Amino acid sequence: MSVIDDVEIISKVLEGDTDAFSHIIRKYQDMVFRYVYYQFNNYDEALDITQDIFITVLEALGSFRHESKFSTWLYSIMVNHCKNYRKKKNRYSTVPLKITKGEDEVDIQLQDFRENPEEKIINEDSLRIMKEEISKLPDDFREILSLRDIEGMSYNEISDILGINLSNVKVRIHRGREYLKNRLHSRGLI
Amino acid sequence: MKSEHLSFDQLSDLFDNEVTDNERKTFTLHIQACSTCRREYESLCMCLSMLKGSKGGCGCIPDICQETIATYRAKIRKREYLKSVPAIAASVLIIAGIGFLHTGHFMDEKTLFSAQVSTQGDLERIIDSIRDSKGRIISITGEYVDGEIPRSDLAKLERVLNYFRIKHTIISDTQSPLFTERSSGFEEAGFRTNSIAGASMFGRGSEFLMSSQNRNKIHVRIFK
Repeated sequence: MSVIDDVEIISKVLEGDTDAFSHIIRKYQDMVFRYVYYQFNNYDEALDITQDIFITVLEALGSFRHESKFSTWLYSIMVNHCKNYRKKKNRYSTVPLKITKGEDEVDIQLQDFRENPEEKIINEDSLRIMKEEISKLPDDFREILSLRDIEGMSYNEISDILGINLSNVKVRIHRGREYLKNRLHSRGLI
Repeated sequence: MKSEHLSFDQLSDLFDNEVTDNERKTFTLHIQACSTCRREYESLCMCLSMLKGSKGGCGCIPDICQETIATYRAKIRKREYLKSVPAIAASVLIIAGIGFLHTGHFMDEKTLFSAQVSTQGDLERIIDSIRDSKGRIISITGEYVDGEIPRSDLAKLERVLNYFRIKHTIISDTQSPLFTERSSGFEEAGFRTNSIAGASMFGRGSEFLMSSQNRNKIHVRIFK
């Protein structure tokens, strides 16, 4: 689906055909979900946030001025929504479920049984460690590495989405990669 | 160049191809010659390929189109409903206020007669109503109370009596009675004016009824 198609769909939605927005959702939901998932490392939470992001986009569609690509506009809403959600979430502390084994209290690990074909290809342990390390990255690094190295966006696109200049994008990418590489090295993964 | 290792930024730029042709050539030659920089670059490549490989590690996402659009519509409906709540509340208050004023709860002097009389018996209520209208009690019988009130307070008294559905009639208006006649057991009175109730029958002992010559006063009979 081309950029023109996005514009056509937006026009339809703005004319009152809300159902036409389902094309936009289908086109971008995987990318949005993936980004959100790596920000919060929780499937259900990511699903809810993804839905909220699309609702926010739908509500704000009238304010889209076609100054940038629709995808860039959508991704900037996505990034800001995640930032706001994280701020809100940080106000409340979470307590892990614990179980008593003998004299010790250990966290209950809830296994995710969802089908995941990609996970079978990559070594399960490496993927688990990678996910853990991504979730432990500082927010700025996780945000920019998700856009650059997971989604493969260009420096310019990232600059537009995050609203920072190109040199800052480069610096942040370098620092984030270095941080992650050192973390994976210390875990014996590389 | 061999003695000066490549910085991480240079390796990262090389990975992203964010270098000039000359830089690419120089960096590549250096990496081939320097084992430290080669190891570093290989680590970076491995790290980033693993990061890219984790793309599918978040699982499959179900189709959320219908649910999202349904949630959006519900949200819009809720917002429209919430928008209308203040208008509905304001309408209710206005209607209630008008009704409240219309029923006579609020008097001219902004006093609440209902609060005063609601706990009292009928007789006390009638007496108090006359007193509050700056009037005086002329006579009290088993069936009614006669009173005299200033003309200016008639409307106020009538509002209170109407509100409590107390039956009443105006015995005399501005004119003094045309005649007074006593007969066995009954007294009959007539008036010059036809504007208000012209005559009434009442029992003995009502000798004060027609005594007022004050044109500013009105005689009222209030039935229990």
